[in-house]
Amino acid sequence: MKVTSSEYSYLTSFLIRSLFFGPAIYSILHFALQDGWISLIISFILSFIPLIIYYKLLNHNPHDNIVSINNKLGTLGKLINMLLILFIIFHAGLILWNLTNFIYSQFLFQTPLLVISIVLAISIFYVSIQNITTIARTGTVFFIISTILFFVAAFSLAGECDLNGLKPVLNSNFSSILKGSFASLGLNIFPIFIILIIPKNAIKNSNKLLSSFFKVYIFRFICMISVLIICISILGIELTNLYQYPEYHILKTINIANFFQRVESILSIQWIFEAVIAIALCIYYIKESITKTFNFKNKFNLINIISLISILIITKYIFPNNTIAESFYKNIYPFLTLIFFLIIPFLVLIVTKFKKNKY
Amino acid sequence: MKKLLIIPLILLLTGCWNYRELNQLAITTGIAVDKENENYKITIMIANSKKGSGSDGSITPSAAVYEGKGKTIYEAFKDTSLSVSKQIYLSHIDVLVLSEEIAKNNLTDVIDFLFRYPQTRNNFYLVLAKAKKAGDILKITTPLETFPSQNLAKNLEITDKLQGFTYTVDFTDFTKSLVSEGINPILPSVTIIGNTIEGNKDENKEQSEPTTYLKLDMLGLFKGDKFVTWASPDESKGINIINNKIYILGVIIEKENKKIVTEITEMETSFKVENNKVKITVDTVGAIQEMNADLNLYDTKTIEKIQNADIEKIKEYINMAIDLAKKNKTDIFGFGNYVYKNNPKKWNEIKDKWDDEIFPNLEVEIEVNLRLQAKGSINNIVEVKE
Repeated sequence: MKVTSSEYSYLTSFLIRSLFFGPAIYSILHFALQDGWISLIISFILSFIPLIIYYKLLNHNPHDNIVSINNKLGTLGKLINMLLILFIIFHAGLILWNLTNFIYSQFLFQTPLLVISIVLAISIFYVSIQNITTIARTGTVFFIISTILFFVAAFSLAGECDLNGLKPVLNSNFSSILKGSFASLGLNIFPIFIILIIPKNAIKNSNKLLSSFFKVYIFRFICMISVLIICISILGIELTNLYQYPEYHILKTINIANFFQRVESILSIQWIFEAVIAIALCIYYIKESITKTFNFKNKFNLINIISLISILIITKYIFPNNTIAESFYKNIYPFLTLIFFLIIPFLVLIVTKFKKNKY
Repeated sequence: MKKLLIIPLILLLTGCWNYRELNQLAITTGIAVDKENENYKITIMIANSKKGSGSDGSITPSAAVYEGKGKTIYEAFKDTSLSVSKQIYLSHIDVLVLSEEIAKNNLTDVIDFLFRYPQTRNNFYLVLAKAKKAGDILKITTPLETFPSQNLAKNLEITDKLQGFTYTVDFTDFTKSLVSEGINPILPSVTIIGNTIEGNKDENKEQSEPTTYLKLDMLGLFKGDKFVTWASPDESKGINIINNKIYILGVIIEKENKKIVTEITEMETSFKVENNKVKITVDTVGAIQEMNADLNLYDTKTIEKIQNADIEKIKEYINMAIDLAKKNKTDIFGFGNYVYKNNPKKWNEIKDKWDDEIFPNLEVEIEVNLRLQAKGSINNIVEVKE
């Protein structure tokens, strides 16, 4: 069961985008204000550091995914795998919480949060019990739909943009812009680590991986920068910061010739697709990790069921209110992803390199 | 397992669970907010009320108006819903009418509620009720549109396009100028001509000459979230010229006690603020629309004279608007916003004294470039043989 390099790149793009709408936009704009787009450009440049680490881990041994690499480190490796399993369950819980909160706050404000999460969880479960090839193909279809919807939204809103809204440029101090970049790295870039669950030999045309990855990666970054620029230039930074999901509210302003309007619900489905695939990938990671680390057989999709129940519990109980959530996403979570998705893999890379050289 | 999953998916994802049919919703197209003693009074116009039959036996949709009171906007809405047998649905609001008192004292309460409420779409128009109760505005029936709220919204849109003294302000525009640095909001107004009680009756819309009707009035100026004053029609024209909101503008000049009307069809305004001096540049194109004076329009010098007189008139509109804003110490043009965007450091130093000290003493330089390119369908005045 193999995925193509394009499918691999599309899956990565879902991990990048899964926490962009909502938490990342909120965090970036609260730190960097109208210079948020500069924060994103800086985070794009800085993102090459984690990308190089991930690429080295992918190339370490074509047969090994990150779990196998860790397992070769013995007990320490198993411990790392356990920690990563727990953290990825937590990460998936945060993605589901964000999606649930979006649906609750904008559409179904009279429906209990748990009901919304369960409905989403059933769909996620259905995706997660498929093999990686099917998930990747589903991801490709979702990527195409999301891209079309993004272009429809962007072109519909282009006429309303007033680039004066981006002024004053560089009004925020440099440390605030860097904080915005760090939030973007923590919420959008470090989660790319999860894709390392697919080993290199499971990629069909791996020689094309780099070019395909960077095409999708640059495209996704351009999309993210465009979203920020469109939000700020239409609503102004004050209103953008006031809205919980400004990227959804600007979709409400679409009106072409009094004919093409009230399309925000259709256009926002792209965020549901992105979150569903990202959570399915997290569950795939957890499943692979548990089966490989503990030689556990996934009978009756037990791992998927337990993971999803854990994710639902996290979604239900993690944040008593969204003020705490906003603060957590902005101030704490980027540091956690830095530790679990960058520092730990970096240490693993150093140790494995060291061991390799030793023998 | 996969097949079993389909059952809950069918039940939950098709939207059959906890659904609401259209006939269970009270689709609200207009909201008016008044203040009565210490209470808010909300008036809502519901569009999908039971259909009535017209004089020819045809079924016509009719609107219903309900009122509620409460110490908060939320309470007032809940009070309104006590008299409505359907669930009030705020996703289709066309217009929000605010009374003068609300505009003077409690604007942010209304704004906050509607901003926060997930159902509202923020593209509805805001309008002030001038010298009348806001609730009464929604009750005036009209022969041209089925619902008064729709009538008001369309009137705002059309007048915005065809006249220069008013323009539409939607909820997003308004809140944007409310929260942005260095700019204060403005809103159009509406008033009732005739008897309010007569205007509520169905007969009013059946008459060829309605006795009571709604008429758009002048612009209302705010300082922050507080209404401060009304602009006259000419001052309103000046405000719209500076704010680049003119689609069509009639400029009326006088020559030897006779009137000449020029219709401006293109207008582009820009301004620069430097060292406490504003330079406003207006580039515009117009055509003679009405001529009562006995002038030779074949003569280019005559055209030049009319052109110069029009330029002076446009400058007069602008000066009147600036004088009004300065007098009330409210920067409704966004000169401060220009400083903030182009020189944020300086803005941080002066923003606290902008409205009260710097803005009222700004030096203003106006440059108007007008190209009078047409004279309508005829070349000269209509000369009647003696």
